[in-house]
Amino acid sequence: MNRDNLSTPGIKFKNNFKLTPEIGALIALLAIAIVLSIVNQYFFTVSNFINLLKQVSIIGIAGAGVTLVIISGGIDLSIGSMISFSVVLVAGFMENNGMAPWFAVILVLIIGAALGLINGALITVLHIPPIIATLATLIAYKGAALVYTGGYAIPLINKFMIPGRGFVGPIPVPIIIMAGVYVIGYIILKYTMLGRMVYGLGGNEEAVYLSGRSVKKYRLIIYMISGITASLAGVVLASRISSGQPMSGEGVEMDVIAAAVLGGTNIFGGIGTMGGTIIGAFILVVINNGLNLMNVSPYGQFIAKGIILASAVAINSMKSFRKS
Amino acid sequence: MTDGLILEMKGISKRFGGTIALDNVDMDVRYGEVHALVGENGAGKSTLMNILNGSLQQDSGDIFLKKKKISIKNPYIAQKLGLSMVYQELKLIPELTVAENIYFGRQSLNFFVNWKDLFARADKVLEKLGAHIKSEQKVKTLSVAQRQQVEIAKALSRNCDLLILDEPTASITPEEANILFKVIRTLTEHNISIIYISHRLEEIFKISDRITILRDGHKITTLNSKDTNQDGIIKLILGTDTLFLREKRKQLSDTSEEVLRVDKLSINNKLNNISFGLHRGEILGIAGLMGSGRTELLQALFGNLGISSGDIYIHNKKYIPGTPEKAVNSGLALVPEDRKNQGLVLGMSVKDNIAFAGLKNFYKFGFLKISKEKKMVKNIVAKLNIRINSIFQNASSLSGGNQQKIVFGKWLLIDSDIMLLDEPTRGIDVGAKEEVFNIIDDLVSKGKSIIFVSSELTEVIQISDRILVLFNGSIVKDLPRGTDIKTVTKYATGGKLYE
Repeated sequence: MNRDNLSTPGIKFKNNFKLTPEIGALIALLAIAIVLSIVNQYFFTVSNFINLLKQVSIIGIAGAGVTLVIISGGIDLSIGSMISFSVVLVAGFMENNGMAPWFAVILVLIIGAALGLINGALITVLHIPPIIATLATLIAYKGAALVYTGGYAIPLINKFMIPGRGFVGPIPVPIIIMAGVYVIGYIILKYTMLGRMVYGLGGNEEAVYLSGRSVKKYRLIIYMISGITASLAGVVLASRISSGQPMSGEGVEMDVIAAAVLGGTNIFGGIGTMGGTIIGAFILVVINNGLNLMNVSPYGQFIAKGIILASAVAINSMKSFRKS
Repeated sequence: MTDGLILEMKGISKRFGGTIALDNVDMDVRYGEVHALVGENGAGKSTLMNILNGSLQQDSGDIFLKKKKISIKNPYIAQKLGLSMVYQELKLIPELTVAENIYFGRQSLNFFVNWKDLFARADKVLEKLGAHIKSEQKVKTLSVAQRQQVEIAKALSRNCDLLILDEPTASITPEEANILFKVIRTLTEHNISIIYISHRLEEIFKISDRITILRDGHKITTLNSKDTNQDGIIKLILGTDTLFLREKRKQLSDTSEEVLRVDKLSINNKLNNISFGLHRGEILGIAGLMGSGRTELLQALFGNLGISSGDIYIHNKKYIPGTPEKAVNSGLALVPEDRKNQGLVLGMSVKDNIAFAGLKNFYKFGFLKISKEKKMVKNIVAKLNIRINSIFQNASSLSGGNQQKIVFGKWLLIDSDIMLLDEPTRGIDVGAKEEVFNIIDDLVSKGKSIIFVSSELTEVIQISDRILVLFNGSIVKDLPRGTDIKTVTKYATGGKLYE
């Protein structure tokens, strides 16, 4: 009677074990980590692990919201621009307007929600396909970040250290934030009306609509959450780089979507989990880290990431192909 | 040459898994004749025609074309042999011109399209048909009837000798049908043979030379159209004159309380001036062919299809359809025609599917009360005897009958007052059908009211307290319980012509 045994996709083995995409991704992650530990003496060290955790937090936090969006059958390309805009706003609010950090953060999260709501409205009210709507806002929000700063970075010298660089005991604060986001995300998906609607909309929106459910409201909420998690990632990023860089979130959406897909979220909706996305984010970061340690240029790393993403999805598709 | 045979199919048999779709069926077609093929849904018409056009292969039996034995491995070979089929769902590309559609994939070209030549050739074919369509027009600007002519022109341009028309009048107006008949006559004058599939008996007598009747995969007989009449054909299609009505359950339906009143409801080009009342505890059957407007009527009541005019009252209170959400809140429920695309989220569990309409019953501050949900869902599963291993099983893993019971369960959970059932027995086996009927009986005995739509007229007659017959978007007759099947079939297939 375990839900996971019966209703999630994957290959069934004897004695009730089922290889779900998340478990597959986890095995891949462990395999990569083991290989890296063997080939490189610096990989398996505490300092490198803390480094990894910090790096994963940005993709991870933003990935939680995007996971909801993708499971519901949508897509959000504007993540990177929303992160950039949040980075400059949180820095600007403190530096230019002299706001208290906590107030600046709350304000930025509210603005993030509004940015997400705009995405949702373009999609549900104006009926623009999600990929186009969020491509448009990717461009527009990027412009907003550049206009706000005039293209310059806003320095944050020796302040606003906690969200990105702080520690609670040995644990980095960004990791605690990320863990919090995922606990909330897990609860939403599993125990709330919203979570049920996320899967329903992605699985068969028409059937859900014909069951008498309001579809638009939930789509709006889902995109709003994606805006909030992106701006939270922006807050953490601003603190980590100590600066309001207007291009700092550039391209993050690609990593975030890749993380969700690597973790088994179906790009057409209906299938996916929070845990999968975080594993996917770790895979991306560990590969980056390993390639760094092996002195592969950042340019070459893009090629590697592309190949990994394509292979992972190909493996998943082959599995579902065999099933049908 | 007119009496010679262009096509002979001999001893054709086809099985799908355990079911025999065709059993030793013979059929022949003469040069230049219109040969009607009739039978109930599932009688084997489509299977036979799909074998003829190469979409399916027969298990046994031979096909002879112009006295030569042929083997039709795929639709491409069928076209090369001069056999073409125009499907009920037209397969044209709306954004291209008529000429491009006619010659799609066959434009003679030296890299560049020779537009002048293309249009000239297309115009010639259209002229042969007597169709008033310009070949430069884009297909999206054409009416359904005109598109049909383009499909026929496409077949002609491939030098077709035998044309299969599958329910060609299902989605066109009577005036357009008359134009189609003219086209058909032009074709037969050119010695082209037609196999004409239709449920509309009246037009079959208008256009056909001979009629072949199939029932349950068997060929019953072939008759000359002028040697028989509609009554004779109906009897042969059904194989029986009388039907056993389902035993009446607890009598509730003569209470005069009207739960739903529809007054002069119209939808552009789909429904005209529909008026009727539904009483408490009544099963109101709607008999009508595909395309008669029956699905549109239910979808409009449920708020999923906009209406042009008319008033609807639920419990004497005015109800303006807007969204399904509003309909559900007003006590309406819909079991849609297309179970897999409209009824269920196949990738979700039995529990989640049954709970969808009733989610409001078990959540507080956004959180689901999952234990309450499980309890209520298990209750429904037991009540409807849904056969599953666990309520966490995916809906996609169930049989058609069990899936349909889940769709019913969704509404039972919230105790909907008025159930709109659109083909609730489609694609489910006989046992499951019986169970669906029992569910319906049980619902009305509890005072629920039902609108039952089915293209299986026998079912409508067996279960309904009253039958409205829809034809081309209008209610042509209001018939009492126990009306014989011939009468219902006449009205459903020929409309007002029998008044």
